[in-house]
Amino acid sequence: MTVWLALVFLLPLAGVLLLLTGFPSCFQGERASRLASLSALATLVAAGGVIVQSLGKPPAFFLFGRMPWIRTESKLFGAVLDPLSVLMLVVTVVIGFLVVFFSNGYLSSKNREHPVTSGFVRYYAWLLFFIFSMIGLALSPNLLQFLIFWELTTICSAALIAFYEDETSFRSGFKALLMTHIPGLFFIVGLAFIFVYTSSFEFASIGRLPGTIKVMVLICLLLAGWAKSAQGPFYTWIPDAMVAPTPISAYLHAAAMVKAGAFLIARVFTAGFEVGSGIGLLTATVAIITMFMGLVFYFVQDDLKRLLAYSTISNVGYIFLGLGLGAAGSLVGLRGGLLHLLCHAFAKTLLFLSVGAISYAAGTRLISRLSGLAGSSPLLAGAFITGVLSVTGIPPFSCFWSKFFIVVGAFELRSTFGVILGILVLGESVGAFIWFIVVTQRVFFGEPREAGETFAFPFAIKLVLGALVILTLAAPLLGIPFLEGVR
Amino acid sequence: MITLFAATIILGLILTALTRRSRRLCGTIGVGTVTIMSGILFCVAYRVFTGGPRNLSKPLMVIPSLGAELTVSVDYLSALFLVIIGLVSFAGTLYSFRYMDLYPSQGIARFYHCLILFIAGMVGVVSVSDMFFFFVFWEFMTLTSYFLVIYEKEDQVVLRAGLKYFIMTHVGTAAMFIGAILLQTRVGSFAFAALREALSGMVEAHPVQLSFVLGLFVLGFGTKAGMYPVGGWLPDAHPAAPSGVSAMLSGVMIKMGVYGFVRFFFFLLPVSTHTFAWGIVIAACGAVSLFMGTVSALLQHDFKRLLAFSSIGQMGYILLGIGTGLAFYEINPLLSVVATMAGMYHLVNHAVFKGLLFLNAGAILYKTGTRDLNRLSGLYSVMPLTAWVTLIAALSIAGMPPFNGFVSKWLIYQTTIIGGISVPVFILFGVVAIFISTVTIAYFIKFFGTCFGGEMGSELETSLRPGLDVPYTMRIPQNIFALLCVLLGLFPWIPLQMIHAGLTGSLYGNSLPHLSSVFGMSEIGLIPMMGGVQAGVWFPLMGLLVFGGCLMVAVIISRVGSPESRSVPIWNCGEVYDTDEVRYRAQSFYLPLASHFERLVSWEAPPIHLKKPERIYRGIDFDKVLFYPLVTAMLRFSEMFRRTHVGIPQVYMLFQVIGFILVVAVIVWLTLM
Repeated sequence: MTVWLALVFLLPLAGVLLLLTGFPSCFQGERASRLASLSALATLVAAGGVIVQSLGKPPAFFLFGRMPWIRTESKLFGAVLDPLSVLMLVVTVVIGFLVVFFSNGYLSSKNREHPVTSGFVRYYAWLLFFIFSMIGLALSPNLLQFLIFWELTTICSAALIAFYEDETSFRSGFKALLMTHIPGLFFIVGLAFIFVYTSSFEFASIGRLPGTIKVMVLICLLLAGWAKSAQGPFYTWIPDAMVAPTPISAYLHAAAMVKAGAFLIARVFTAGFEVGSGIGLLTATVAIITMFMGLVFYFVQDDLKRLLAYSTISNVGYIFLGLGLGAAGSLVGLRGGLLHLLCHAFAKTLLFLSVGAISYAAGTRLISRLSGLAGSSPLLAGAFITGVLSVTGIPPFSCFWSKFFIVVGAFELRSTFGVILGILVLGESVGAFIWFIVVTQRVFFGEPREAGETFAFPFAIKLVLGALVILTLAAPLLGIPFLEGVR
Repeated sequence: MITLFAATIILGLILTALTRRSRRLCGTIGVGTVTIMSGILFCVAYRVFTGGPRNLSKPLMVIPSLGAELTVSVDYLSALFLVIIGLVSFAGTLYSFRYMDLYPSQGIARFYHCLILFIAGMVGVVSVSDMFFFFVFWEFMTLTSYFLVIYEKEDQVVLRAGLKYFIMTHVGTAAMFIGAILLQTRVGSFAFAALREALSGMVEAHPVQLSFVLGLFVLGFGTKAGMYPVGGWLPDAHPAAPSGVSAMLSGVMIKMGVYGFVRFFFFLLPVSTHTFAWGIVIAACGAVSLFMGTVSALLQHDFKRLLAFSSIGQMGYILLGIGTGLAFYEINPLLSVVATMAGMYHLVNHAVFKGLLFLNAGAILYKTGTRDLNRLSGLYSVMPLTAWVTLIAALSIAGMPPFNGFVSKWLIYQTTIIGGISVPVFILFGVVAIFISTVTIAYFIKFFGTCFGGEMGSELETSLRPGLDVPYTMRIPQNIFALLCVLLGLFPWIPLQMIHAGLTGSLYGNSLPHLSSVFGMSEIGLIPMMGGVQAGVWFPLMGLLVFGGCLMVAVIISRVGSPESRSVPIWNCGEVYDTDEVRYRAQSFYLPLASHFERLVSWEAPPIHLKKPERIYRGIDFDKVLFYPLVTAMLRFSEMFRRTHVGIPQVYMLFQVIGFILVVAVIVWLTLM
């Protein structure tokens, strides 16, 4: 088990090192993608081994190493395997591999929107390093390791947003760095308080803090989480981050990194202490406001990726809402939030990669310049429509289940506020559904853009889209029984 | 059985996908799959009707957190609907086999995939006994039918219709979500039995909340059932779909709304004052829809649109029937049973004759390529079969004896008028229903007359497809339906027996009167009894005998007299005109009525023109308050920092010295502490 875990950490890192040193010279330039895919696939296999071994067992800690100048009871670094970390690990490695593989096809000179001829090593090295950081974050046994990998993901994110190295990319990368890092300082403040009062970095040690300090620490962590997940007033960095290559947007800004904030809060809220319904309702309120803020921006977007970015903001709001309901006393809401994390990760990656495929073949992703694409590529249409139906929550597609859990969770509070929350959530869901179905019709149906235009995709793109369709459909079936273990 | 059903679906999906290149082969496999599915449905229904309700012993899927279980259970009511689904699906699919030639540029596998899944969705809706999975199948049915509606995906009109349909029904479903979850949070389970408990707990304790929940359900089911005004999607969506699918949408899918009403209000809602109140609400909604739908149909020139509006009207009759049944449960149980059964009977009949009408409409469209009644005439000479079956269907829907529509409508009139004695408002509903029935015949005269009557225009003649009538795979379903129209009218006892069984387990419970005490002992006719009043007698066979006898006499007389017969051109009051120019077109029908009702029925919601909500966007642009100040502060700090770096080594040395002194001072201070 320990060996498998070590492999999960080391394999992506080995990939990074090989890419940077340029040791096997056959993997340079455009061929860096093969090495990266290999590394990601090996990580996926190793993580699969870990997950299979951990299923059905109680939470387990694998710890080693201390820092001599920090005195704590337990060791500081390592991994924890419980339902939550397995959930995040699945999202990280599965989508990680698919995105790296997708980049094989996407990042090429044949791309009609952004032909890429250089910078492959840089791209894949950062991407693999991001996978490594995200694995570290998902498996963090305590808040200290969490913080370290948290900041690593931020750096990777900024570097990858600026991949195209033009003026807007640099500005957007800088903005993302600043907007997630500065509120992230609250994380450090909260962590300092926890350490000073309890001499430990455990998630559960927040419960041992005195009353007001506990509330303050929780709010600090929430602020950091909101910024990382583009919630509340901190949402503005994510639409600008859409200048990144589309696979990056799919992975970092839809599936994995933006979920890190929600994951932190989920960790804290399920650590086994009483969070208090006040904090829960605060989380829920901010979440619902964020959801509607995201919704309002849908209607004026012409760029498909920006539309998806706002949809991500709304949907991460769902996760926070579920977590908030969990803290306020609804187990169903909590499970719904976590299920939404899983379902949304696959569905939104599918949508982003479909948009990537559109811009790869059509050279644009502006809604006003696209129409009738279903005739050009049925696979693409099928993938995009599956994604849309999943994200907007049409049964039996994936996010329907999680959204339904969350709505039931809201009503389960059995207070007027809960009922209002539930109705608002349904309203947001219907609103998002309406706009997405309108956009789907505009882009995929109607008169074709150019008569007889057919899209030819490289094998990598087709395979990844197909795999993601299946994963999106299967996500709730696997996720629901799995999450019954969370309490 | 369920395994076989699922296996058929999966196999059908795979095979149609594999054979998508060959339209004929793919169609054969699609039709074959649906035929097997229908066969299984008939088989299940037969077993239920002969052997009692059947359940799967354990749920297929369980979600403990929600208290939802995918339990499959088929009772008599479900079985009744399974029969309808099987029948109309089979006919619609067989019909589509050749009809889909109209869409040569569209993929054929896509059509059969959606169709098979659509049927599966409908079967799921009627055969689960858990509200959560009911919704899952319900929305799945909507989704698949949406893709069938927008099958012709390049046409903007079709796309708009599909959009309207999907959005309206999705909003209706969301409303029902709220209602169902409000109930679920009281008992922690979505099973029908648990929801019944939740409802009965609310009757006394939370009547207002209960009314809210029931209102949401009326809204949701009504949207699907095409109830006015929430069923506004129907006249757009039904014409947009291929005709075989239109027949299924109008014939079965909108009936799922009625299934919802019956299941919810007759099986789950406990008897209380609410039953009476909501009975009146449903009946009133029915009366309004039958008025608005039928009058709107009168003014249409697009015949598929005409039929779609007519569906709204006929759904109104059905809702009026079951609403009356619900309202009179406590006042006059026998009348209540008759009314409910009449509504359900009209449902069965409507499935048959509206299915037939849409198939006929499709046949005309297939033959001529137009849906505009103004451009059609004299089709009798080229499609005699379609003309005859259209006549049968039209007479049925207009409630002419001895066809099936007459019996159900007659029972609805009887119950509403007799019920009006104790609750006067029902007299109004009944009178509206009777008079609107004449409007029904009026618009079918228009439909039939302009399509088949008169002489064929020369322009039309050149645009016809070759061959007499339509291909035989399209004629078989037409004939089946036409035959059923007659049989269901002549032998009302058979469907009524099935419907009567379907009400087992409803709010009538053990007091559900025996069929013979409601409709008399005779098995060839009906003698409805309502609360001790014998409300009439109807023996269709006897009537038919009388009419047949008269016909025989006429034939004999004409044989004996052997009059001379000759064929002459149409008489135009002595004037000789080219008939194309002076033909009485569809738009010339009912002009006075049109001028009166146009405002009322062709009311369109004003388009929403939101001025760009700049203010909102400015209000939530947090860059101004967060990001820009942050960046400005950082730039200012960097600027200050830059100034300290003057580039003179001596200054840097000075920094070092000051720093050293500071560090020493701090260390000394710390050690002294």
